[in-house]
Amino acid sequence: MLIDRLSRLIFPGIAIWFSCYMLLEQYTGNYRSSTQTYVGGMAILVLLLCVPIVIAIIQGKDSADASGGTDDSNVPDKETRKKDAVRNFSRIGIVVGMAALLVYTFETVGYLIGFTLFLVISLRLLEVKKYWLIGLITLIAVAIVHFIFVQWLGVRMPAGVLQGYL
Amino acid sequence: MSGVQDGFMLLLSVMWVVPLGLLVGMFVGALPGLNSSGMLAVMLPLLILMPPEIGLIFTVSLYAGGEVGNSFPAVMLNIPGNASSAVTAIEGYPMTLRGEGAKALGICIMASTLGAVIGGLAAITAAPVLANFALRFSSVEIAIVIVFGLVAIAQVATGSLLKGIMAGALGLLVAAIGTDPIWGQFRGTFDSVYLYDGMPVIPVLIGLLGFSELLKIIENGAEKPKAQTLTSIGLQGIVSGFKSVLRKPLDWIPASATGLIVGIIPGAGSSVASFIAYQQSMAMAGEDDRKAFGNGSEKGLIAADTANNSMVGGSLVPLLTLGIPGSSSMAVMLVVMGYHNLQIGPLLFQNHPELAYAVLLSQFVASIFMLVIGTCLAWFAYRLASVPVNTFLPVVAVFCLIGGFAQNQYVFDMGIMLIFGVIGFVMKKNGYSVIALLLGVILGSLFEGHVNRAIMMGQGSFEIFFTRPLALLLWGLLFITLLGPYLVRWLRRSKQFQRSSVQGL
Repeated sequence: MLIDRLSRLIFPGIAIWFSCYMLLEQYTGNYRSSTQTYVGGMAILVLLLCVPIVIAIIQGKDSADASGGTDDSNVPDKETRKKDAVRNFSRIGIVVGMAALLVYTFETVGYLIGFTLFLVISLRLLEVKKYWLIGLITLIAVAIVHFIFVQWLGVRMPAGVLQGYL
Repeated sequence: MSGVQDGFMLLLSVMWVVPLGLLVGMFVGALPGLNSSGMLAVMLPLLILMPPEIGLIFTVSLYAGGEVGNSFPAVMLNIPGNASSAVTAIEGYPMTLRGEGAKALGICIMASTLGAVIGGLAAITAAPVLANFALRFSSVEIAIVIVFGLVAIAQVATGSLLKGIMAGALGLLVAAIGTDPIWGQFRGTFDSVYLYDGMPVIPVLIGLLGFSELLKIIENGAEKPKAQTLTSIGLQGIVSGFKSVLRKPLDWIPASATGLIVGIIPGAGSSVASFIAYQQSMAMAGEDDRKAFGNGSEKGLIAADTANNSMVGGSLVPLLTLGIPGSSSMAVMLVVMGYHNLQIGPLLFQNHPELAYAVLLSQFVASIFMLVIGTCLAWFAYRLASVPVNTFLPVVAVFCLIGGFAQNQYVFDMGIMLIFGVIGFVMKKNGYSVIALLLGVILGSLFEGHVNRAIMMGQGSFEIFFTRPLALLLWGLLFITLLGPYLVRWLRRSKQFQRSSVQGL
């Protein structure tokens, strides 16, 4: 329950942090009053709207999420559901982590190697068992990226270590 | 009339885009997991790199095709492509179980076609009239219309009204990042040179609509869909479905009107349109017909699928005339238009009438092709729902990353896409409206510009927002939208209370 409430505080927390940042920046920086009014007004509005939301979350009166969460209609017991939830959240964490690593190393590694590794690891992570299928999907996807996006549409993605060869 | 003629000639020159868009839309729509806005968000890098007329017509065709494609797995395998085809599954799948799967598909295709025709007709008649009216709007009215749009979205979208308004306001604040429009000072840039031009909209859009959806699918367990049995489809069955729809005008005409009206309301989307039309159809049905609802009712299926596609036409109206997207998919179109520096709002009909009419006319062309392509695809497209979701999710993730990179070709923007993807996922999990945040970001700079201009018009005073007659009318509409549902609820409760007091006596 505590973890659930803490997770519900993430988005309002981001909103509060950002509003405070914008307010402080406007009023401690050297800004004209016209821009201060607009940004200050919007930031205060967001803060005011966050207050009842945060209070409702802390009191446990927050409305249920509309997404419905995990579909557990075919999973009978609580333990299995918990295991599935942990597994799925770890997958999300790993996919996001890998994407972040890809973004961080994109210019060094290049699009071809970066996307290939990302696809292979993600497909394996998502339990695609057949290696030939992993190879085929990766090959087709990377070919689309290279021939359609890079060659045809002219999106200049960094080639990284393969600079000069692509 | 010359605008219509020019639009028609422009459409003729790029006619190939319509069937291609429908085909791709139907294929992708048939795949489980990705909804229309997610599909458009992922395809955004392709759409913006095309010439504007091709990109915009392709977007509308993709959208329309996606709404039809969603129906195939819903009917045949009880796997809705997205929320809007949930009703299609409720009524279509029982028809499949009793051996009328082909007929159900035929109903979906014909109902969608008729919905597209009516949506197109209404859009082409209403849009220029509304655009002319909107030309009278000054910065004051436009600023209020933007607020109205955000409030309307917060009202109808997922989660509570307060959360929706907060998300919209946050979006407007995020849009303030960049350069102050009057004095040119940087603000909220976190000292990053990449944010001097403001928050890049395309990575935000792809993150909030595309990448977050992907994370939601992984959260729900990206496994093989629970397919039932695969049945064969015959042309005779499909044609009998066509005839069934044509014999029931009292079902598809009101549903078209519903879809149209819902489409005009910003943020409502196809799921709202299909559910409202379905409920209306149930309410208007006779005693015997009502029993069939939930067990394979043709009337329910017709209503839902007609509304889905007429909504596409409806959602084009506020986009092309006021610059307010009627749905998250139309938000993608707004971004495409902005990328090509097209005048968004009523001036589009003045400065680029051929483009505006080409987009509106493309729906008629799409409806003709829909019948043919839908019939051909129906034979096998529903089998796409059996494609394991885990095989294409990483590919979609790669396209999202490319989409984030493509606009400015900065790796930084890929990071923005990722951040907003995670934020969008957290928002969806906790009942916040992603579309409200997105529209706040898209319309924020426009809103600030109009507010500043309005204040200059009022010589530094905010009074101008409350003295112009059009502005007062818009405030009135805004308050009705905001308070209307609460008023209706209060009236119902007081009637119930009165009834129970009378019964008690």
